[in-house]
Order: sequence, then structure tokens, then C-alpha cells
Amino acid sequence: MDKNIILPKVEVGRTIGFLEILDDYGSKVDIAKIAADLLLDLDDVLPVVDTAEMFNFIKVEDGDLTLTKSGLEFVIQGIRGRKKIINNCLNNTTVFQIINKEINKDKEKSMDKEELLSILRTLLPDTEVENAFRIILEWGRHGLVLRYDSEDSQVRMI
Amino acid sequence: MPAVLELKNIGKEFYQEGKKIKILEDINFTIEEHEFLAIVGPAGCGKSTLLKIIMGLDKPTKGEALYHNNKINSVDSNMSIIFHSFALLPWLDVLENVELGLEAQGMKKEVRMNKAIRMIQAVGLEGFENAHPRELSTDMKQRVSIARALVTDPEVLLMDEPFSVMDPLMAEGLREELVSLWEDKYVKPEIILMVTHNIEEAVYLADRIIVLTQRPGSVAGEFEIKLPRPRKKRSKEVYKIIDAITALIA
Repeated sequence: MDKNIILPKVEVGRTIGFLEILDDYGSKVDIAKIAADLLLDLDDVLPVVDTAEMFNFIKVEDGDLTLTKSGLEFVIQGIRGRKKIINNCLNNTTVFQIINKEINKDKEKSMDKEELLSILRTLLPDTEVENAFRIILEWGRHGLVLRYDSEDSQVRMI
Repeated sequence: MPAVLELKNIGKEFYQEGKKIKILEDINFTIEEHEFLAIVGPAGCGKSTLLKIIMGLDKPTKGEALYHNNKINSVDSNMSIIFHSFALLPWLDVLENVELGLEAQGMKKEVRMNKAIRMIQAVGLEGFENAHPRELSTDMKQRVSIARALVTDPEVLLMDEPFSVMDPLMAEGLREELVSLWEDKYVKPEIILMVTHNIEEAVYLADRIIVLTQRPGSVAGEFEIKLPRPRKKRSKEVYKIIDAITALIA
């Protein structure tokens, strides 16, 4: 496992869809096989795998993927149950912990978009941070951890 | 059980540069309550045109389409349609886009808002109420479309290739959610009619599949899918049906 993963790399929908597909295979599947079956490049699948692994939904061993107990539990939940699980995962994810800490320090209890982009630039020196921002926002909103108002560009914790 | 929707000898043709082009021919079928019907067929077979005729957005050249025994002449407020492109209003946020479906019904603002909020939760968009369409991923945008289409409690939901311009992983997640919505007693619709070129998707989702031929589209065959949901995509039964449909189209 890549211990350098501190934030989700892909969108909510792709991660959940991937878990559904894994669940349908029923047991261990080779990463290359899944990619081939889905007509996707390995390059497209790997960041999804990283994200699912970061949340401890899947286990990766010698190129084989399996759903963990948490992953199986997640897949059988309905929308409400899944949001609860994701909320929990995000509270244990580094980037959201950093955002939470910084926002709590702020008088207005909010963080400007530029400030978050700046934090991301420090954490991810070689990455396009606008994309990372968009993905983090999506997870944060989906997991009911943060709110974003595009009118005043402020991020707030829920 | 009386049919909710009935298509009788539907034909559609138009003229292009003086030549007559037949898109649909001799389409006959009915849809009953609690049915999830998929229409599959090759590109250009007229399946989208057929959907528009049912929605009241287009008129057949021959035959008639009936909704509860009444000829379909115009758009009925008991039917909603979702396309593969989203048509969300970019200057409205998610909540306002979903509420839009209710404005025409003359509901009080508070009632509208509560209905919209509940629908937003039902499609998994809780947390995104104040987001604008440009901030949303493709699948999230489609969820807004679904919420907006269902917030008016339509009896019939029509879908034209709803997952076709989407990342395959996102489409997968959305299909699963559609199955949940379909099985949810508290969410109408009573009937879903989905047009798709994706045979696997049709077999995974539908109770019955109507297969159209190449243009001019006519009914090549009908398949009943009696498998319980959720269905295993990689099962013998599913593969058998997919093969049979593919053989019919090829």
C-alpha cells in the first residue's frame, strides 16, 4: 500500500461504481482483468484502486483485488448507510483533518478556496490542484463533512 | 391488467431532400403497471423517436399511441423524461433545479422545497443542495436530472440513453441506484421505459426488453427477464439472454 496517499484521487461515483463491479466478480480479481473487461486503461483504473484502498474498502495483493470486510459492508448498505461510512472514512483522512484544523483556527470558521488550493500545492507538489480541489469538494459534500459556497468561495465544516 | 401505455401500428417517416425516410414501422406493444421496459436496437433504428412519440414530443405518421386509453397528443404531466445530456439550468443550484419541476404545479414554496429536499436525498445528493451544475461530476449531474424528473411523482419515467455519455464506473454506480429507486415503494414511477444501445444494461435493469431492427425499426422480438434483483451481471442466465438478443440484432 502506498502510504503517501492522503486524499482521494478520483470521484465518488467512480469509486463506488468500482466497488459494485468488484462485488459482482465475487472474489479475487486481477487488476488487469478488470481493466480489460471494462475496456479501460490500467492508468484509469489504478487511481480508483488507490482511492478504494485508502478508504480500506479493498485489499491489493500481487495485483489481485479483493473487497475487505469494510468494503463488503459498504456495498450492501443503502444510500444513508453509505454516507455514514464515508463520513467516518473522511474524518480519518489526512487532507480532511488538515482542512478541519485550519478552519477551526479561523475566526469566521471558514476557508477561502485559494487557501485550500495553496494547502494542496504544498501536499501535492507535482499535481494539478484544481482537479484535486474538485474531487475533495465532492467527497466532502457527499460525506457531509464540508460545505462549499461557490458564491463566496468559502469552505466550511458541517 | 389494463395496459397503461399502448402503441398501435406506429409508423414514422419524414422527407429529406425529396426522399421519404421511414424510421419506424408497425410498432405494436403495450406496457403495464410496475413494468421496467427497455428498448434496444442498433443506432438509427428509431428508438429515440419512439420515446419522443410516447412523451408527446413528436407525432407518429401512422397508428396511435395511447396513455390510459387516451390518444397521446401532447406532453402529459404524469410523464417525465431524462436524456443523456442534462439540460440543467447553470445559474440555479441543485435545489433550485430540482424545485423547477414543481413550480408549474402551483405548490407553496415551503412544500416545494421539502419535496425537492427529500428527492435530493433519495438520489444520494444530500450535501450538494447549494452546488451549481458546473461544480458537479457527470454522474452527479445525472442524479440532479433524475431528481428533477421524479420530484413531480410521475407515473411514467422515460429515459433516453441515460448512462451513455458517462465514465463506465460512474454509470455502474448509477445503474445500481436506479435499481434501488425502482424497488423503493415510496418513489414512483410505476413504469420506467428506457432506451439504450447497451444490451447488458438492458438485461441488468429491465423486466422486459423490446428489440428493434435496423431502420426502419420494427419489433424483432421481445424478451421477459424474470430474474430477481439485484442481478448478477456475470451469470449464465444473463449471458444467455444477452446472446439471444445480440443474435436477433446481428
